[in-house]
Amino acid sequence: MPSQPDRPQIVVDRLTKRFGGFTAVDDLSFTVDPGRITGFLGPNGAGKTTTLRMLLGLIRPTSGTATIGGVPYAAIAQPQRVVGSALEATGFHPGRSGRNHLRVLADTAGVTSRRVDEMLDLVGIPAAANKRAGGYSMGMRQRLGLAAAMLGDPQVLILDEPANGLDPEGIRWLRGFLRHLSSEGRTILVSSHMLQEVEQTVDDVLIIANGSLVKQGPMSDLHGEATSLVRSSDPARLAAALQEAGVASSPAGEDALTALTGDLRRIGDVALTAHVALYELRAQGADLEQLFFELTESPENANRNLGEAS
Amino acid sequence: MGGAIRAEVRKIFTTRLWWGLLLGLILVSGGVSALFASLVGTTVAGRNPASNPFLIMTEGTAQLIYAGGFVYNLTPLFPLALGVILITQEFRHQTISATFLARPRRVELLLAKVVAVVIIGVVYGIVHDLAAGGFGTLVLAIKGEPTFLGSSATWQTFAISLLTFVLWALLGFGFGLLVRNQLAAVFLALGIAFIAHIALSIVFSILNWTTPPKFLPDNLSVGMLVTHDPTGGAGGASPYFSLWVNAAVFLGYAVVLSGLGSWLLSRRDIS
Repeated sequence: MPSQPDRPQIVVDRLTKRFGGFTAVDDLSFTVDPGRITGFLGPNGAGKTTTLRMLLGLIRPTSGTATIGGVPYAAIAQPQRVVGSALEATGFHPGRSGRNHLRVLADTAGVTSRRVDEMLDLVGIPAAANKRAGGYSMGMRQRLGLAAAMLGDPQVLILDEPANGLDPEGIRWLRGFLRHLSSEGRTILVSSHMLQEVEQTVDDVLIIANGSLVKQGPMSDLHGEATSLVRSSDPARLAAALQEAGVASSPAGEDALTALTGDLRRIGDVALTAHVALYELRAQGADLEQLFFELTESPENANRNLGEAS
Repeated sequence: MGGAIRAEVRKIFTTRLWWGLLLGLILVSGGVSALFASLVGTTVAGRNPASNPFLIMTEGTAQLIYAGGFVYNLTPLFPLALGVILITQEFRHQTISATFLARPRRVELLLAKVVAVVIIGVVYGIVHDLAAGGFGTLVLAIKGEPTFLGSSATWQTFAISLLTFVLWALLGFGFGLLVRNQLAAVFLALGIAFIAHIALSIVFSILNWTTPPKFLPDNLSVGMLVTHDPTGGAGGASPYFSLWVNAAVFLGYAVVLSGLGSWLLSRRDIS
């Protein structure tokens, strides 16, 4: 499907970056669909930032291409109007105020000072805007970075670890902020090294380890099949009764079972018929943290940065 | 392109750097100019009319006074440091990513920066003229010496001073582009411009070489500003090239450094 100019698709095709003998990104291909929030996940050092910087024309790929709406970033006539980005290790001059930082960017984007003030309001730091950025907290810097990304009212947002350094209140605010932007139909690619951080925010996930893709798909796929935890007076008898009712289960500790169904009512009914007392019955989501580790730390994907020095 | 230039000019004027350095410049240019003016008609700098440019007030003496700190190699350190810092601060504070994200065509962006450096160079030159002209004429007037404000040679110096400031700032810009580390770039640039200049001048004079000193940046800029012999012909052959040869050689330095630095940066990974 060719991407329409107003709903640009991000396409990364066989992207590779080698720094000397070190392959930071290895033959990586993926697409990010318009109008969705995609989480770009992987442990620290997996190559997320390098990938995003190649996508934004800051790093020259060794091979492969990365395009937004069918063209490389550097070929977009007014890039800030199409793609807003906030990268890690993107600083502010400590002696320049937040407002002036945005006004400098507004000059190249061709937007007005009024838009600058609107963005400062949007990210909630209008009061700090006239102070020098050197005194900003990490959270305020993240918000200023988001305001900068939003200046040109872009359809695509590329955010590198925007939750880093935010307190729980800030993370909640960020979640709402991204949801709001997504509801306006924008395409958002947000990187994180913590799945839990973005779990409630993203529609799709893209997981990389050691520069290679290990999983791509909708977030709901990651959750897998629903299971339930049942704690009872006689787990063996309950397991047999469940088996008879067509529900598989496995022991989960001394007096508990994991039943492969999310239907709690059915388990309760089976237990009642089998005369087994229930002490606890609850639905279990997939353990995402565990899954993330399995995906990114399996032997073939073991973090290359943590291994023994060779 | 207009937006990029506006952005780069705004960058310069939204931190304290430009006026901090400018205050230093006013003190140095004004101070040296006042000092030179106070020497006019005295034998403090010697009794020999061939070696004391202040003994008799001439057009050349006026140019020397209004060039102020250029002669002692102090004034040029300000536009030089300004040029170095304007580019290296982008690396130091990691703002270069945001800069290139806003304007990914890097050569265009660097051209916009060059235009901004030219603009601030002219501003510095005007302020230098006001400081050196103000303090110099004040002291001359008090002493009752002619100020030569009606002389075209004086106004030529005032006008060429703008070009001199632009060239020094561009030299710093190119140097900073190549070194990138701010601290190293500032110390190296000031060290080369000041200490290496003195050391080389001594070496050249011991060796009795007369042409190589003409290529030293400070001598090029003094040669642009002081085009008349301050000793009124008593001093012999000029130690400088002619005005436009000086300007062309200096421009060559700035263009080579900036061009090489821009070319390297346009190919560099920004991470």
